[in-house]
Amino acid sequence: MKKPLTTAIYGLMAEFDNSTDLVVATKAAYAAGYRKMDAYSPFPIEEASEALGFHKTRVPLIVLVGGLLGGSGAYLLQYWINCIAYPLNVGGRPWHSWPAFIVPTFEMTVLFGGLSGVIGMFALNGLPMPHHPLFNVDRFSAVTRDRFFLCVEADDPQFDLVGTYQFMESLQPLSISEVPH
Amino acid sequence: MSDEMLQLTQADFVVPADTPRWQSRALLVGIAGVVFCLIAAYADLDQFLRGYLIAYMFCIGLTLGCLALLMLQYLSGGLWGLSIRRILEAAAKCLPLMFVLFLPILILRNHLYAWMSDPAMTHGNSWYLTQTKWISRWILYFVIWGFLAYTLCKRGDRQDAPKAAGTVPRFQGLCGIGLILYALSISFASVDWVMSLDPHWGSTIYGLIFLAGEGLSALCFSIIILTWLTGYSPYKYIIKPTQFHDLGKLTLAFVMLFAYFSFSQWLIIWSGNLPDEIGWYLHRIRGGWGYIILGIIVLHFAFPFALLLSRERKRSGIRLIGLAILILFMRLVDIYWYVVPNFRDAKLFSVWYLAAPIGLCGLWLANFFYNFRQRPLLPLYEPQIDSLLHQGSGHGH
Repeated sequence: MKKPLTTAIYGLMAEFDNSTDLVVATKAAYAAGYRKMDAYSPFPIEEASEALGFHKTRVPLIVLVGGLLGGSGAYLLQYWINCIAYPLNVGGRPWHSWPAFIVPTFEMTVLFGGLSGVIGMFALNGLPMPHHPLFNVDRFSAVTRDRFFLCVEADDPQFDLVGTYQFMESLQPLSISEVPH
Repeated sequence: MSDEMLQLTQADFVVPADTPRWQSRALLVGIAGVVFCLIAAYADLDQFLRGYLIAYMFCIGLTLGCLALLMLQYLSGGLWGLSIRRILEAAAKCLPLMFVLFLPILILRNHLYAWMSDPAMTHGNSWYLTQTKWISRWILYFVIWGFLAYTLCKRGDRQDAPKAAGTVPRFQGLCGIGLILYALSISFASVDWVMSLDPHWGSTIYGLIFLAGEGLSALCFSIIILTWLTGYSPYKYIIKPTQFHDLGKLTLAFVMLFAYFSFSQWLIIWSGNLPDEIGWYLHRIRGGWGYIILGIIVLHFAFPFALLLSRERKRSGIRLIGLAILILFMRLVDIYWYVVPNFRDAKLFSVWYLAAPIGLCGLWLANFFYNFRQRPLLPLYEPQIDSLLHQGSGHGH
């Protein structure tokens, strides 16, 4: 009976009525060892992101790689055009006139860095996602108004339906909901 | 929340107890520097004056950069501006000192600016470069800057009284106009004081390079002072990593802006490749000057740029302060690279270059600490102060 239960639900969700309680609860959950969890609020709360350990994502690495590829690609393209494919004498300058290459190189670094940031963020978040299990809980609709939620997901190694439920009770939330898939 | 507010008074935001000691230390360095200046002026007036112009442009840059940031933070709002407002005001109040410190340049201008004694050098620029106009513009710059600094600091004072005592001062209109006036005046001032050392050469982006450099100096200086403040109560509880993060992001932006302007100037002149213009650069990338500009590219741009990409570094004053000191030093080096090669008998290094930077920076810092001590360090009657004092308790901003 126990096993189907833990896999059958998405997670357990606690509801709070202010951001301070949410941040405190998130910190407590992180300290208790939970990692696969997320906080939901009507407006961005930087402290909650920090409490979740949210900022250690791979997006910066993706942006760096994208930027480097864009920049070196732009430089090599200009090198190939100006020195190999169609060498043209402009005011007696050398074919490989690097100062003139810098601006497009910079622009392409920014363009590819920016695009990889957006695309990488979408990919890491699993977007687009037309439906999310959290919407199965009716109370969750209040998250766009005046409620703050912390959801610990069932695939967290520490997750245990009874134990996690008891832990959440100790945070004194307004309510605790089981989130079905 | 408001009950908690009432318990805090202006008396809680005193300057750290050892500020007077820092002030006298700075004054001591300044006086020693002035003595050094006198020796230098006696030993080699020309070399000393070049060092003096470098030091002057650096110190006026700090003062005006802080004045510009002060206007910017009134316009844009944000907690970063609130936490450094008193630092910016104290720096902007050094303007009278900078006015006095200009007098040696004014008196000895014939030794610095070759065109002053030989008007034939100015060619087609003679309608602009005359001694009378140069002096009247100098007065006009200080009237503009002095008006802005005086009015803003006075309104800041008025804001520090309980609201019942008077009307709430308005800042935004003045600051919007003030920033435009600042951008225009610093462009003309940099042309008058530095670019005219070589009366033949011109660059239209010149003023913007100085403007970006001044903003950068002011940000780095604010980071240093703010980090110093976080060693003391109650600032260590009030100033959060978020404030340093904002300042760090702005510093990164200004590092890039400075590099962008500097590179644009080079790219345009390199592309044009005209004899009138390119000589200015050829002179400055050959011989010893080439190593200086290489150092500027690496230490004024590439190195700070790479380090400031790190989020963790931007969020910590302790990890920013070394970088801020490096950038401030590189500001001096950059101005040196702009000033010294203009002279026909320019020397890469002279011990007399060092006199004025020591003296002026010491005097400026002493004046800064003196101004800094006069007021409570946080504007308690500023509407936004609540969010600065209560950040981190879960309230978004």
